[in-house]
Order: sequence, then C-alpha cells, then structure tokens
Amino acid sequence: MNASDILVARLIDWGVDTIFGLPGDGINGVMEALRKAQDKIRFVHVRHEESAAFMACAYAKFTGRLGVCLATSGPGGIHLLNGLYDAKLDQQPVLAITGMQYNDVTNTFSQQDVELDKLFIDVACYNNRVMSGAHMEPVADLAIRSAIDKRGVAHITIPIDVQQQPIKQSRSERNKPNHTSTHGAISGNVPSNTELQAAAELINQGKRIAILAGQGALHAGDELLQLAETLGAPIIKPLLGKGCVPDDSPYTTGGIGLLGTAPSEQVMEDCDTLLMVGTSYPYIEYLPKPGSANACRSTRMRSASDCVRPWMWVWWVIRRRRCACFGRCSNETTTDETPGRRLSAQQIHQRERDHRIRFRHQHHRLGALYEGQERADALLLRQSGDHGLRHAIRYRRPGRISG
Amino acid sequence: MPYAIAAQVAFPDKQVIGIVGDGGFTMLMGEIITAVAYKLPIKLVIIKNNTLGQIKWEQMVFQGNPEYQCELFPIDFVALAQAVGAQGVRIDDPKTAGEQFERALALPGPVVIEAEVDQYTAMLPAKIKPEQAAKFSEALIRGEPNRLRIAPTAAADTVRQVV
Repeated sequence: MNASDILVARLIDWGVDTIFGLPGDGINGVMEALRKAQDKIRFVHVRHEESAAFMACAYAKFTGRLGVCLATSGPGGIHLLNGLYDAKLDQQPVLAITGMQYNDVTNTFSQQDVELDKLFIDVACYNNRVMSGAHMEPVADLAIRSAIDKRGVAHITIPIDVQQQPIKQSRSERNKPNHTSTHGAISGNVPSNTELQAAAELINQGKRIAILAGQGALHAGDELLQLAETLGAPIIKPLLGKGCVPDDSPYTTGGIGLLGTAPSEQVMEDCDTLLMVGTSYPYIEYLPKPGSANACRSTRMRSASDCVRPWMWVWWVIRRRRCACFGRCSNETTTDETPGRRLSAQQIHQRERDHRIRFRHQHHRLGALYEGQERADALLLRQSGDHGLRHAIRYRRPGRISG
Repeated sequence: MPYAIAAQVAFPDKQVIGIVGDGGFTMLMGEIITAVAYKLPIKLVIIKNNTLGQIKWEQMVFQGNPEYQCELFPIDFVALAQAVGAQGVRIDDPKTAGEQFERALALPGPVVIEAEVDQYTAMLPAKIKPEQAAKFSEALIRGEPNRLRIAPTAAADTVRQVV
C-alpha cells in the first residue's frame, strides 16, 4: 500500500464518495489509487480546476458534507484558488488535494515547480505538504477533521514521488501507525447561560427590533418565524439567507443591500435593536448607524466584524454550526414583557408589495417567469452580478436558492 | 454553472436550474461540456445583455464615471450549446417568453436558455441616495456613451413606478 492508496482509503472511511478534479503528471499517483477505488469514489472530471473547487464548495453547501477537489502540480493547483476562496469566505468544509513535482527537484526551476503549500497559506485552515508515505495517514485524517470542524479549506499537497511511496517507508519511531481515526465529533459553540441571559435582556429592552438572518439560519426557518412573531421583528435577509423564510411570508421584508428592498432599508434605519443570526453580511454601510442601535449576534460565521465593530454592543458572539439555540433565545425573551411592535405583519407585507410594484423592468418580468414553472423541489443556483441579484430579489418561493 | 453541476451530481433526481449572466457564464463556459458528458439535465438560464451589467452601473452610480470596458462581445449561446451536444433555446420576445421557458424546462438533458434583456435598464438601488442620483447624472453628463438610450429608459421606469 502506498501513500495514495492510504489517502483514498481514508477518504472513503470519512464518507467521501465524490471528487471533482482533473488529472495531471503531478497527481497521477493519486489518480491511480482513485482508479482502483472507482466503485467506491466517483471522480467527476471537469474542464478547468477552478470549476472543481467551486463544485466542491457547492457540493458541501447542498449536502452538508465535505466537498473534495483535486488538481495537479503548478498551474492545476493555482487554478483551484478562486473556488477555494469561495469556500473559505462562505465557510464550507472543502478538502483540496494537489500534487507537486519530485521532492528532490523542488524549488530548482523544475517543471511546474510551485510549492503549493506556501501558496495556499492564506486560504487554508489546514495546509500541509506530505513528506513521506508514512506521513500520509495522519495528515489525511487531520486535514479532513480540520475542514469539517473549522468549516474551512484544508489543503494537502503531495510530491509525485511521495504519492507512490509505500506507507511503511521512512516511518520514524515516533510515528506509530493508525494513531489517528476517521471519526469526527460534530460540535458547535453554545453560549453560556450568562451570555444568553444578557442577550435576552438586550432584546427585551428593544422597542423596534429587526432580525438579520443569513445562511447560518437556513435550517431554522420555523424558529425564525416564531422569533419574529414573539418580538414583532421583521426578518431581513442577506442573499445567502434568502431561503431562511419565504419572501411572501408577512414576517420578512426581503433582501438588503444595493439591490435590496426599500422596506428592509427602512427597517434597518428605524430599528433600535438588531439581532443578527448566522450572518457575516459584508456591507456594513447598510447596518444601523454607529450608536443608533444595540446589536445582538448569534452566528456560526467567523468574521472580522465579530469583534471589531466598536459601535455595536456585541454581547453575544457565538460561532455555531446551526442556529439551534434560537428556540432557547425566544423562550428566554418571552419570560419578560414582549416589546412593543413597530409594524404589524400586514404593514410589513404591504410595504414589500408596494415596493415590488416599483420593480417592473423587463428583467423582473423575466424573473417572474421562473417562479411557479420550476418543480417544487428544484434547486436554484444564481451567480452574483446584475442579473443574479435581480433574480434573487424577485424570487419569492421558499427553499434552496444558493450562490 | 459549477454550482448547478455540483447540485445535480449531489441530487440526480432533483430539478436543477442555474441562473447566470452572460459575463459569468463565459468565464467557465467550457464546463457545459461536463454537464453534457455526465448527462446532467441542468437547465441554465443565461441572461444576456452583452454587458458586465453590475460593473457598468457601479461605475456610474458609485463613481460618477462613464462606463468603460464593460461591453461583452455578443455570442450565440444557442449555437454554442448545440455545438457541444446540449440543447439551446432563445427567448427574446416577452410575449412568448413564458411558454418558451416552460417548454425549455421540459426538455431532457442539459439545456442552455439564452434569455435576452435590455442592457440599458439602470440597476438602481431601492432607496436612491441623493449622492447616488448625483453620480448617475454626472456619469451621463461626463460622456456615458449610451446616455441617449439609458436616460429615457430610466425616466420611463421612474414614471412606471410612480404610476
């Protein structure tokens, strides 16, 4: 058994059944192991490695599992980067497997001579060059575990000669075989009761509360609606949170941002308390002005804005996998008085409907065509840009829209 | 398109629809071959205005500059789809767009739907800030090449919204 065989065996043990990528002379050792295991792992052969990385990210988003992409040395690996940054910034678990040229010609102007571990330092939460056959197993396990636990990109690069080295070769006394496992315990950070209480108090002080719900709330639609009802707070949805609750729900004002809705902007301007749920919404110019509102954040996202927004009272910084704590939060808040409502559900709905009437460009007529013609369980993918944004705004049905 | 392909790989029995602009689509255009090769029945709606729309409006509304280097050389996406073994459908008439779209969704295998839209429709925010309106006007005054078509379109849209 060589390094590539053990890598593929560990991938299978971790439950990986699909890899997106392209072969090349710098990764052909791994390709041979994949050929031998093709009944257990499907290889999706793409035309450009950038696509492979995007596909791995999308696969993670849609399945909730690890996405895996593979590229050869030098230019192949470099091509992955764009899709890997997509995964990094949207915090999706992705493993990138790349090759390097022979160990003993590295950094000597050899063909496709790029030390990809150096290049990937910024994008990866785990990043390692495999130094020998015996090094492969623990590196594979730790890389996969890191991608899943840290919700980011793990990168393994393997020189082509190492890919074909027997796993017994050059094993040191310290490196005991099988000391890592393929079991990962999924956990999320849960707020302490003190923090939860502080958050509940902050929310209860609010008279005009708004909720900003991102992709971390995608699986908590019912809890969000319950929270909106309890607090009398409209739900504003950044694009990645588009599917949290359907746009025709009376509890949401729709999107926010350059092509968001006017009611969302109005709610943001009027609120005295903003509850941010599972979002790393980047356009902070659309958030309440510094000093004008209290903020309470429940998030599985990890972003700079978690800690460096001095004008906010960020009482509650939680990095969570899912926002299951919502039920608890809303229960806490209902024990005290329910804050007064600013807008009734009907008023919110009316505002949004008025706003829609504004949008009667040809784009939007076209956008309206999608609605109702697709199957109920359809997956909708939209690319950012003028049209993607227009469509995402126009589309109102619940479910998965992703981009 | 990579997202649509991955979604269909993950869920072979679900309907998958990708919505993409002509600029984004052409960046990784070769990947339509992957959908054909793996018989993935994705439906790709290419919204075609032969321009990098968002960038163009950002140049105008954020900076007050006339658009520059945003036009895209127009290509025939239907012919492209057919050349690589996918089906192609062109939608360019609002009156029949609905029926055409419905028919395109019902076609088997990967389908590229080229949907033509007006490139002169301004992408303006829901609440236009005074400085954004000023920048937009400034861009037109400073020599926006398509101002004679953009200005009437924006005016007509405004009237329609008010009415």
